Amino acid sequence: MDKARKKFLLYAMIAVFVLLTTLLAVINIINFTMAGEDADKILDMLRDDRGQFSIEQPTPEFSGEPGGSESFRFPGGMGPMGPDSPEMRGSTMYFTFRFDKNGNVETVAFKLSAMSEDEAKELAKTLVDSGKTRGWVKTIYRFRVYTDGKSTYVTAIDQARELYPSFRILLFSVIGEVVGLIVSFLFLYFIGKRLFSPLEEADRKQKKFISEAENEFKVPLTIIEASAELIEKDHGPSEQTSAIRRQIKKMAETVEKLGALAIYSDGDGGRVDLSAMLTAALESKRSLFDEKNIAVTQNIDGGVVVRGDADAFGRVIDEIVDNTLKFSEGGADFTLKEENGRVTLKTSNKTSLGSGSVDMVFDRFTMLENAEGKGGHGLGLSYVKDEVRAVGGRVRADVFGGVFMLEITL
Amino acid sequence: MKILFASPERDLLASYGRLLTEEGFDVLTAFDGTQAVELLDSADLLIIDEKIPRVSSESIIKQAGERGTPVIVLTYRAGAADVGGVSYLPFPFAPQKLISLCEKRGERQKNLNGGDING
Repeated sequence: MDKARKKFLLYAMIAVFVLLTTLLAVINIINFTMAGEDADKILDMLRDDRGQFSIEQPTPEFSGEPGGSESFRFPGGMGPMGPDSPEMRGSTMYFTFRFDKNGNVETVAFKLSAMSEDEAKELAKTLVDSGKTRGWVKTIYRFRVYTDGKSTYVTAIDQARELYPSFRILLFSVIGEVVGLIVSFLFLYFIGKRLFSPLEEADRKQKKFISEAENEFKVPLTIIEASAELIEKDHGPSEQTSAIRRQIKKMAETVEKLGALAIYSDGDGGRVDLSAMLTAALESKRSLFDEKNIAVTQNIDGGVVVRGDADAFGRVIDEIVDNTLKFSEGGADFTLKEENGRVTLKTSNKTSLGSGSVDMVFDRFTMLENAEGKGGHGLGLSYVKDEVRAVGGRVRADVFGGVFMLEITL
Repeated sequence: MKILFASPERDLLASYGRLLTEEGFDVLTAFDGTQAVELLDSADLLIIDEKIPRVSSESIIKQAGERGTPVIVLTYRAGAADVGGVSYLPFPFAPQKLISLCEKRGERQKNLNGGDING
């Protein structure tokens, strides 16, 4: 359940991040786009005035020409703002150079302090050579290249003052996003704790109950089995004592599965403890291996955990152990290792199976030559193959020197 | 060979007490840890339920180890590994399993003591 809380936190944070980033990105993109449009409006006026403003020339607003009335105004009767401000012509810092067909440069207007006239000329020449007609250069200069049919004009205006608030908003947006993410994380963390703690508590109680139930069954099963043994000693074996033994075996398997439910999964179907699962499966079948005189060796790394469905992995492990129990003709070995993030489960057992038949062990409903009289339907390893492949793993089988080997890589 | 069987489960003690007796062992029983500690000196082998009350099973196992008494721990955990003189037998188990484990432990102890063990 702890995993579910972490997952909730992760997804909620991703949602907040995407939302905040999108919102702030849209605000900043609109802000910078509008700054460019305002600059273009001024450049249009300069182009119409052949590259220079006359300070005495009134703005369209004050001359009563169209355009001014559509400008943005603050309430309270303040004058138009931005490119339509009556102060714009006097306060705009810009240069315009005229290039004739021979490449000679003439200064039309130069009203900049941040660079010299020669530097501005060099910049204008670069802009003409670039073939661009409008855009930003040196971050803060908005330029336009245009012609009157005889000459080419390059006009650039310094937008540093107009862009400064936009960059400040950008900076505050980044800071705001970081702060917003931290606040959201703390908020979601505490909300998640309150939201999930009843579920975590229920999950913990459920596991405890299962674990206790499992233990509560174990001792009675042991006593019943001993009692059945004593009844047989006193009165001889009977159908009734055989039935008791069969039911004990069934219940012991159920108890084993109950234990697996409590141990293997962390509650959200995510992490599966393969080490515990394989150890428990071998333990539950130990008496059966003993009965068949199959010496089992195991080399199981502790804490090998994989992601997936605990029930599905449980069935895979059961099938592998059952398969070994059924078909081993001598010793059997189980190895579980994790190296460089790769989990390998390997089983090997003595066999009389020929190497030519090994390719068919995964085929459905296929009973090979060594399967006669051993039960089964030829489905076990086929199921193993399907489940392992479903989680992106690989499974292979081989027979060499009278030893059957099955290897699963996850 | 004298076996001390310590478990709070009286039915377990009764059934396995009789089974082990019929196999030729002398069986002493203890319902709790205090009784187990009292009887420990007279036992050649200790079988102890992990959930013995009053005195912890760990403490009794340690005392048995100090006396050189082998121990079979009846455990609720699967996959516990045997260490030194301590063997683990997870619940539920078949009677034959416990009997053969007692025989193995008794045999080993007999060899260690140069054949000086009763039963």
